[in-house]
Amino acid sequence: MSPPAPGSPADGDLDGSALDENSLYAYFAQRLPERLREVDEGWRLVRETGWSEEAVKTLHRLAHSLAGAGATFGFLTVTEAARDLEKPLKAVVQNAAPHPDETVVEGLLDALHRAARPADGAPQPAPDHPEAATAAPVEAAAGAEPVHLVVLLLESDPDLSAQLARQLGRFGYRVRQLAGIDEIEEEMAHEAPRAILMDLDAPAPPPDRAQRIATLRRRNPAVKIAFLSSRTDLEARLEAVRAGGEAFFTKPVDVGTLVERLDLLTGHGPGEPYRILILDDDPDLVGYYAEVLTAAGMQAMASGDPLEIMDSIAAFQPDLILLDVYMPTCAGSEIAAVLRQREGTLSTPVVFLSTENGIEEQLAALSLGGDEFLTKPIAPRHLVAAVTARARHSRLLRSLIANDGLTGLLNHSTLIQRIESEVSRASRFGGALSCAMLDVDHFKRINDDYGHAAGDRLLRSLSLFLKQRLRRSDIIGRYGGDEFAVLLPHTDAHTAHQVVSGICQSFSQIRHHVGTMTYTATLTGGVATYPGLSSPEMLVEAADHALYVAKRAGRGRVEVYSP
Amino acid sequence: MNPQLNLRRILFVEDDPDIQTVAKMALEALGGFTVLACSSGAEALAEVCGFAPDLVLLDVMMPGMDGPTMLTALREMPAGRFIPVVFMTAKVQTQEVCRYRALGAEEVIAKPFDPMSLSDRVRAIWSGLQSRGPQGPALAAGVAS
Repeated sequence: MSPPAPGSPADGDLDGSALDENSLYAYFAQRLPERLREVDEGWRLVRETGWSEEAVKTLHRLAHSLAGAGATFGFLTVTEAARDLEKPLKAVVQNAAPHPDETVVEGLLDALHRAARPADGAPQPAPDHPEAATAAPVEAAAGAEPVHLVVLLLESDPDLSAQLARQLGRFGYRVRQLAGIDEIEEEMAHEAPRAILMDLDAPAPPPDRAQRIATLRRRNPAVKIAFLSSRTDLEARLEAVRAGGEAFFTKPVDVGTLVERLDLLTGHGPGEPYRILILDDDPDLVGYYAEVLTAAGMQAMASGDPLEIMDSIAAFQPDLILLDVYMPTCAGSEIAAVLRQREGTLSTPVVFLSTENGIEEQLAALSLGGDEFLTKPIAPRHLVAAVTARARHSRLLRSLIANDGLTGLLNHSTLIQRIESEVSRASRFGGALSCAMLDVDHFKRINDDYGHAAGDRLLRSLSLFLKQRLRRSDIIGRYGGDEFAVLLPHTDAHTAHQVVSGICQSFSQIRHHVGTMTYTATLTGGVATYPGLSSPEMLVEAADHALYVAKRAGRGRVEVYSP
Repeated sequence: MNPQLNLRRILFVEDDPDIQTVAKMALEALGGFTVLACSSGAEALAEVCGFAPDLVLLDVMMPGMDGPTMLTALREMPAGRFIPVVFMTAKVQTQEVCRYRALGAEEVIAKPFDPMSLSDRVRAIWSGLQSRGPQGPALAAGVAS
């Protein structure tokens, strides 16, 4: 037997006679801290050696291995995060790109650490206390990617403070409960939070409170400040505004409204990554663009054959198409003209890439339906900026048409389209696709008991909760009424069941406020998985059937479809 | 290669210690094979004579000596000329698979693999090799399923 590799685990940790998915999961869960420590150590070496080739190679290999190991053991979120880290490093190793900004790497490392914390993404028994996971300390990072959302909370009522911290924790915020403005100043000296929530009615506030808050704001203009108060009069609101507050919440605080405003204020609502289709006949360039865009948090799909582009568009539903002007079989401008003739792609932005410098040629290409012209070679930063701006605009336009007015999730018809394209994507590229239907238990009774406004708020709160708890690549829609549909690409039935069960369990612990009353709501879910169910209709029907079975079995549970 | 042999001994070459552990465990416990796990190509080459594997499962991307390099070195050893080698890689596009086959790999197992069904997969590959007869592997085109 060869000597074990450094950091190699003892064989005794896994029992061969009882090898199953749970023991595999438990084994790797226990190994993860060590694997992360290796990656951190690799990053330290990269920094200390000033991005030496050797150190970058090592870190790239560590990230690559972790991605592979994560996938083998069913830790899909770890794999995703490790791949995100691997990509920019690979570009450096291959000399395809300059090394990324250190804050970008730190952001990716932070995302990796978060992905490794127990959460719904990993196949595991749902944690009893999900807030315990979000309370774990994590180092500061200022990455461009959404990292963690730290909120400082200054609330004089300890019970309310603890309750808010717990509830915000379930929506992905990490709350630090502080006792006074001195502590805020101290905390901000080493890490800027996303937002500060302050109790306006604190007994005996320091006389210079407004001034000190103003100083904090000057130093950290990005930090948003919100006040909580049990008063509703204009005077209280004025006081909050004068103290620099940008939002005002009256107690008892409805956590759904609070999260919605915090997301808006911090600009951090979780969104799906932009999907960019790249068409260029040079495979190296395509790979490079894909990596640059992926490192910036987008999803890129590369194609080298213009004649396949229609299939790719149908399966991938890009927000933007990057098009090479010169290709062997047909010109980029011709493709753009074709896209403009089809209803589905009429408004999809098309950005040309070419070594073409002549203004006449550029104008000619644009006149055929392109939106922008980028000249090769293009700096990664420029590419990301140009693509992001266009994709955001395109996404916004599309969302106005496609989203449900109440929840902001996909509406029924758009959802059906997305299910169709996801099924087609799964059949093209392989892999599992799970569909879950979720329904609020006794929703009618909630409407009757607490009013329709409360019911609407509950649905909004649930939609926010789903957005926070699922991956960015998952698709969430309001199927109708109080029924929600969730599509989980690359997720098998077993994992989908655990993810959805975890979500239902956590959601059932949230207290919803109506005036002075509070109530909790439970969810029932049904899961069905492709392959096995070959058409979009069958997939939806099967998930709906499983939901029905779960309702019959007593609600507050999730069932997987079995024929 | 003598394809009439039963598959008993597997040399598993993989630099990731966790994948190594779980694969060895799965191949031993669920497949009943005798497995020697090595962390690098160099280490594996040094074990070939002593261990005399029936089959080598080889990770493509490893630091130092990668899978293809190790395969080339193995083919140059008298003891290693006819040992069937199966690559394990995340890159399973047709083009890549054809390249690996051209290098002399019998089959390609896609990574990540499911530890629970790895033994079945390996057995299926082995019986595929046997059915091809004693003249050695055919260069079948297409992606390993």
